[in-house]
Amino acid sequence: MDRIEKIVSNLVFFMLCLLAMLLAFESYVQVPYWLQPVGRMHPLVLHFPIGFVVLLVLVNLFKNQLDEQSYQKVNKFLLLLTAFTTTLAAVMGFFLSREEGYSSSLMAVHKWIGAAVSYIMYALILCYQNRKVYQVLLYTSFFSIVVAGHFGAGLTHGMNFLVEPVLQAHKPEMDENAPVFTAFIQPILESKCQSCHNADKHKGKLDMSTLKKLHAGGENGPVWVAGDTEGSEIVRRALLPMENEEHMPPEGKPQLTDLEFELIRKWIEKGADEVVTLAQLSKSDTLYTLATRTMAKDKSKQKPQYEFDFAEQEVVEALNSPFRSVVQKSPKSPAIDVSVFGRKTFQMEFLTELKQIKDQVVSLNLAYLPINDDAISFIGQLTNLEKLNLNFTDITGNTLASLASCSNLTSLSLSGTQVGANILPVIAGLPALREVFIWNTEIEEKDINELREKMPDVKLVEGYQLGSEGPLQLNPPDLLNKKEVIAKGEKIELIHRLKNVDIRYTTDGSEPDSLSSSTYTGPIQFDSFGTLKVKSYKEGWLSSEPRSYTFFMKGLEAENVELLVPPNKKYKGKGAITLTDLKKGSANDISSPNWVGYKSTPFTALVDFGDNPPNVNEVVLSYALNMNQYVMAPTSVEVWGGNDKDKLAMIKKTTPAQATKMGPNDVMAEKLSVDGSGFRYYKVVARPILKLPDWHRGKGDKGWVFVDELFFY
Amino acid sequence: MKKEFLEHQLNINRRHFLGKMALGVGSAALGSLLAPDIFSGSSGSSDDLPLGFSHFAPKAKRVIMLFQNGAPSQLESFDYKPTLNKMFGEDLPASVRGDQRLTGMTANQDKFPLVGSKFGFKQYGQSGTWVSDLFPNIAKITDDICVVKTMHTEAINHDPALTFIQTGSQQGNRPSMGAWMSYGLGSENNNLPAFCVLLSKGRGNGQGVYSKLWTNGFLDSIHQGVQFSASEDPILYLNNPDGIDMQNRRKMLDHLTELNSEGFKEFGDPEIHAKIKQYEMAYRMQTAVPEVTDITKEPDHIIKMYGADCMVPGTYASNCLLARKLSEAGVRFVQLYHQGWDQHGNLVGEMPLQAQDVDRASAALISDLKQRGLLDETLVIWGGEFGRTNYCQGKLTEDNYGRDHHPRCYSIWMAGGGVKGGTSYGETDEFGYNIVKDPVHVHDLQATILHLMGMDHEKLTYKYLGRRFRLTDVHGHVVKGILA
Repeated sequence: MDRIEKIVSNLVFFMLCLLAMLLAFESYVQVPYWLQPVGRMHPLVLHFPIGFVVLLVLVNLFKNQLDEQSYQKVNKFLLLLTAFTTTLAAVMGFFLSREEGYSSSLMAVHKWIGAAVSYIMYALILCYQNRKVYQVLLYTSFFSIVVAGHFGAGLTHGMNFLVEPVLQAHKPEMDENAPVFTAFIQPILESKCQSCHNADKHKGKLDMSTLKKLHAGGENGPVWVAGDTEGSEIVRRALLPMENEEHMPPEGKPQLTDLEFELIRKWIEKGADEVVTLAQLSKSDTLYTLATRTMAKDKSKQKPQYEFDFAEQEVVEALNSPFRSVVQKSPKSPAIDVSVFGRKTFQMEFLTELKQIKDQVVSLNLAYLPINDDAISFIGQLTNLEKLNLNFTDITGNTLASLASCSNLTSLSLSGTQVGANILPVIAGLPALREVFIWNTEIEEKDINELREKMPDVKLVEGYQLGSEGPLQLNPPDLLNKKEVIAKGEKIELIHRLKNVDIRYTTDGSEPDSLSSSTYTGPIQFDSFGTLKVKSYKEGWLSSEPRSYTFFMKGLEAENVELLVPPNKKYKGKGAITLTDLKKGSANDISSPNWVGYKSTPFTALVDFGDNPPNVNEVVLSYALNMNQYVMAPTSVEVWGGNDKDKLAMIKKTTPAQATKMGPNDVMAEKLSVDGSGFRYYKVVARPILKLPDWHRGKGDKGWVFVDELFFY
Repeated sequence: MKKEFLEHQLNINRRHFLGKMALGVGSAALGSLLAPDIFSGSSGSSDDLPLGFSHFAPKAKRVIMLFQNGAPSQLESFDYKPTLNKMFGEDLPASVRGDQRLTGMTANQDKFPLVGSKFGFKQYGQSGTWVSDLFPNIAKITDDICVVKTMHTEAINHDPALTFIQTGSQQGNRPSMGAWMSYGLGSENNNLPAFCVLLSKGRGNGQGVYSKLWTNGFLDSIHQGVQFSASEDPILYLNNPDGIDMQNRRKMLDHLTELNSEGFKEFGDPEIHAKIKQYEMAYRMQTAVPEVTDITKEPDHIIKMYGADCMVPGTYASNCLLARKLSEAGVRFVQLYHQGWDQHGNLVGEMPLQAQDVDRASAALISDLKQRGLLDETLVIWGGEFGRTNYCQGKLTEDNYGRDHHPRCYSIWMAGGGVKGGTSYGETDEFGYNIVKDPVHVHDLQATILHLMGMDHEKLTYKYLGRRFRLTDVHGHVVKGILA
C-alpha cells in the first residue's frame, strides 16, 4: 500500500508541475495532433473527480460511524484517487482548451478553477494529519469543483441550458410585425447553431449570437451572401452529406428540419433582408408561406394543454349509450368528444345529461337531430367546446348568441339549417372561431361577403359545386322486372329515380327521341319476344344514353333437355338445365352459371317434348357477344327435328350476322321459323367461329359460343 | 356434470387459477426487468389500456376506403411518364426490369414493348398535381388530396394482393383493416355496424371480391364487415315480417332476453351475453338504418354533385353517397369496392368507362364532406391493389394496348383527416417501373392509416395461436411525409 501511495502521489506531483509549466507558458504551447485525443477525453474523465469529491465529503461526514482504522484506510485511498483523477482531468482539459474555438472568458474561469482544484487536492494529501486545515480545504475543493463543473457544462451545452425549458415557455409569440429575421431565422440559429457558435465558444472563429457578430463571419468567411444561396456557407454546409466533415450542424447534434432549412434558404435568396417584416411580404411569396407554416406549427405545439380535470370514469361510462357516444380523446387527455345519433329516437335528456361533463366536452356532434333553438342555451354551458356540429338540425339561429360563452369554439357547422343573417353578429363575437360551415342555409351572398371583409381570418364554407361546364347527363331508366323472360300477360315496368323525368321508349328497335317516341306512363305489355329501347329526358339535364332490353316470352315447356356435346369444362353452367331455367345471363359476366360455353366443338342440345308434342312455330336461341373475351356470334345455327332421336332431319339453318369490328357486349337472339312442325325431338346446333377475323386482336384463334336460353313457341 | 357447469360459471378452475398465477407472477417479474416502464401507469404503454380508446389524440375519426378493385393503371391516372410515349414500341431495357417476376400472362412474351398513356395529362391546382384527362373532376380537387406515387406491394396477382392490402397478409385468415379498426376503436354509433362494405361493378374487365376481404379473422365476429346489398333495401332481413310490428318485436325480444338470461345463469357462457347484445343492436338498426340509408331525400344539387347515377342503388356513385351518409352517422370504416379495373387488353376502350364511373362521385364525396365540416375528421383513400406494367400485354397497336400486373409501383390518393392536401409524395423513374424516392409499402400505408386514427400499429395487437398479431405483422413505418 505504501509503495502504491508513493507512486501515485509522485505521479500527481509530476503532473502538477507539468500543469504549472503549461499554464505559465500557455501562449507558446502547441498541442501535437496525436495528443489531441487525450485532450478530448476530458469530458469523460472529469466525471471521476466530481464523484470522488462527493464521496470524500460523505466519508468525512460519517467518519464517526466508522472505526478509526477503516476510516483512515478508506479516506487515504479515496484521497489519492481523487487527487490523481482531478489532476489528470485538468491536464487533459488544458490540451482540449488549446483546440480552436475555446478562447472565451467563460473558458478562462473554468480553466483556472479547474487547475486550482487539482492543487487543493494535492494540498489535502499533504496536510492530511491536520484535521482543521483538512476540513477547510475539503469543502473549498467541493464547492470549487461544482462551480468548475457548472461552467464546463455551460461551455458544451450553452450557458442557459439549465433554464432553457423555463425560458421557452415565456418565449414571445411569433409576430407578423417583427422582422422576419428576428421572428423566424434567429430562433433557428439559436436552437441549432449557437451551442457551438456563441459568445463563449466560437468554433471556426464564428459567433452567431448577434447580428453584428454574424456579419463578422468566421474563419471561413461570412455566414451568408445575400441573394446567393449557393455561395452562402450556411446553405452549402447544410446540404453536404452527413458523413462529410464540413456538414453543419455536425453529426450527432440536432439537425435543421426541412422547413427550417427552406426558411433560411428562401430568406437568403430574397436578399437576406434583416428588417423586412412578415406583414410586408406578399402573400404569394414562398417565404411568406414558409413563415406562416412555421407559425402554425409553433402554435400547434403550444396548443391545448387542457387545464380542466379528467371526468370520472364511471360518469363517462354511464353516459355512453347506444344513441350517444362519449369518448375521451386519448388516455392522456381529459378532453371528451360527444356524438348523439338517431333522429327518431332522440330525447332532450341525451343532451342535458352532458351537464355532468360540461367542462370536458370539446367536440359535440348533433347533426340531423330534431333539436331547436331552446337547446342552444344548454350548449352555451359547455364553455370549453372547440367544435360544434349542428348540421341539418331544426335551429333558426335566433338563440345562437348563447354560444358567446364558448370562447374556445374554433369550428361551427351549420350546414342545412334555417339560419340566416341573424347569426352574423354571433360569428363576429366568437374570438377563437376559425371556420364556419354555412352551406345550404338562408344566409345571403351579400351578408357573407360583408362578414368576410370584417373577419378575414374566419373561413366561411359555402359549399362546392363540381363542374360548372354545362348540364350533366341523365342516367337511363331502370327496369323493375327482375327477369327478362316474361310470362304471357306479364307487364314491363320502368322506373327513373330522379323526379320529373320523361321516359321515352320504342319497341321497333329504333332509337327513342323526345318528339315521336311514346312516353312511358305505366306498365307496358309485350306480345312476343322483342327489344325495348328506352331513354330518359329531364329539363336542365342532357338526355341519357339509350338502353335496350331484350325480352323473351316464356315458351313451350319440354319434358327433357340434354346437351349432346358437353360444354367446355370452365363454362359448364348448370348443365342442360341452364337452357330452360328462364334465367338470362349478362354478357359482361360470361363465367356466371347462366351460360354454357363452347370452343372448337359445336353447341348441341336435344329437346324432348314427350308423347304428345305441341306444334312448334319458332325456335329462339339466346347467345352472348363479348368480343373482347373472344365470345362471338355462332357461324351457323341449325334446327333438326324428328320423332326418332337417332333419325333427325335438318329443318332449318341460319347464319347469324357476324361483326365487322369490335362492339359492345350484348345478349343477342337468333330466331328460326319451323312452320308449325309437331315433332317429339328437336336438336339445336350452334357452331363457334373457328378463325377469328383479321380485325380482331386474337386473329386466327378459335372463338367461343355462349348460350343461356332456348325458347320454343 | 354439475362441477363442469360451476367451473364454467366461474370461467376458471383451480388448475387454471394456479397456472395463471405462476405464469403471471413470473412474467411480471421478467417484464419489469426487460421493460421497466411497464408498471408506471403514465408511461403510455397501451397493452393494459381498455379497447375503444385511441392510443393518442387521433387526426381522423372515420375512414372511407374507395377501393378500385382490379388495379387501375397508374400510367393513365396520376403518374405522368412522357418518356414512355417517346419510346413507343421499344423494348423495356432489361436493366430497368431487373429480376422482377412476371405473371403467367406475360412471362412468355418475347418482347416488352413500352407504351405511354393514350390519354393526355395536365397539371392542376396550386399544387400542380398531374392528373390524366380521364379524371376531370378529381383534377378539380387536387388541392385537397395527396397523391402517393410510390405505393408498392409484394403480390402480383389479384387475390393475394387484395388480401394483403386489406388484411396485411397474403393468406386469408387475418382480420381486415376495418375489423381491426372496429376492434381497436369500437363503434361511434352503436346502432350501426362499425364496418360496412359496399360493392359496385364497372364496365371493364372485372375481378371478384369475396367476404374474406372483410372478415373478422380471429377477432370477435362483431367486428366483421357488414355487406350492404345493392338494392333499395341495403341491409337484408331488417324489416319485420308481415303481421309483426315494432311493439310485437320489442315484446318478443324482451321475452327472449329473459330466456337467454336464464341460460346464462345456468351455463355462464359469455357468448350468450354477446347474443343478447346482438339482438338489441339489430332492433335498434331497424330504426337507425332506414334513417341513414334513405337517399331519396337528398336535395337536387347533391344529386347533381354526385351525378344522376347516385340514385340507382348498387352504382359506385350511389355507394359514395351512401358512404358519406354512413360516415356522417358515425360508421367507423366504410369500405367500397368498385370492380372492373383489370385492363389486360383493350385498355383504351375500358379505362374511360371505368374512370367515368368513379371520377365524379369520388370528387363529389370529398367536396361534400368538406362542405359539412367533416373532411378534417374523415380519412378518404382511393386506390387499387397494385399497378400496371409500362409495357404492353398482348398485341400493341397504334390505338390500343393492354397492361399486365405491376407490383413495384402504383399510385393512390388520400384526402382528409390529417393528410397533407395538395401534395404528391414519392417519385418513380422515367419509365414508371421502379421507385426512385420515398417508397411506401402496403404495410407503411396501413401503419399510417392506423396512426391517423390515433392508434400505434405496433400496439394494436390480438393474441391468437400463441402470438400477438398485428395488421402490419412485424413491418410498417408511419409515412411522416404525408401527414399534415
